[in-house]
Amino acid sequence: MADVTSDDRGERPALTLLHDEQTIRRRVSYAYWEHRSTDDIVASLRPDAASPLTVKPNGTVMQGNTRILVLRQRGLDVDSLPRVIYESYSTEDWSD
Amino acid sequence: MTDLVTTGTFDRVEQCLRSDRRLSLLAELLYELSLGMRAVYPDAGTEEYRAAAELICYNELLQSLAASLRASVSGRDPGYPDAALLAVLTGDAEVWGCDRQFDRALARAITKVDGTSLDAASTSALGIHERMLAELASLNRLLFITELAAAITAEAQEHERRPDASRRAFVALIEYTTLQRLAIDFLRTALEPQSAPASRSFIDLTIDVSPEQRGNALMRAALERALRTVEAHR
Repeated sequence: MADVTSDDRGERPALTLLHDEQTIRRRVSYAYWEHRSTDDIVASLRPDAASPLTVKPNGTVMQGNTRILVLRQRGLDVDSLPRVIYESYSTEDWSD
Repeated sequence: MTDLVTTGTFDRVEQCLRSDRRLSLLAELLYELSLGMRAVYPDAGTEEYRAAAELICYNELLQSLAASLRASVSGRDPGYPDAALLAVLTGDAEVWGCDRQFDRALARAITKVDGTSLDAASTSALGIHERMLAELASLNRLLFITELAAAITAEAQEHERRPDASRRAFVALIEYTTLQRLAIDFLRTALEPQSAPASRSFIDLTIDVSPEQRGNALMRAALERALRTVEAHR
């Protein structure tokens, strides 16, 4: 079943964005976060924040895509940021 | 699959729905269903992602609305200012190519909330957007956001009726949009002035939604996450 847990384990796949970068850069939210300080963005991604960095076990970013892209472009090591793990229910065997 | 009765979740949901945290739970539920749908997006950059762009668009719009709704209800997160929310919604609708559908949904929501006739085709986008800001600033704020979410999921429902939407890749996406419509119906009910306390059947419906069972696990997972969030910020 799906669950969300704070990640305190050693294994950390690199972050993969949910949308391609070009799509994210066209979003209004990108312009919004681009004008925020790095400290503000990092704080907004903390596990105790209202919209924390939330990531599937394989590293796909569920929440925080725009902020991660902005930080990555600033040269920050985003893969080392604390993340909340989102365990999703498998739907791979679903058919029509 | 987690048994909601033996784990006590069922009772916790019932308590929450009977309390002043009812709206918070339902807003969180809608948000979680939107987040959950993201988990079944096709990989970015693939043909499947492009084919699912319209459903993705509706979900991205819904997530912004659900975030705004939970911010308004819980007060713990200020969310976007209203003008920024409008900019985000119209911007995302344009990015994913469903701006026409968004304006139609907006017109439908305005008509539903204030009861006036509004022909989207004969009203400029600017006029509709100004009307949205006025609704957000009014006492009807929560109802308006809920109706806009409902109108957006109605657009998704129209999309699902098209033949290509039955593709295997979209099955999970479509299941989520079905659950989202249900959650919005719960919100509508909860926002009614004479809304009755949560009944047992209401709760049963919340956690036993899909005749084919496959949606139940998704709904239960979203409900449990929503419940944890609401209880953590009691």
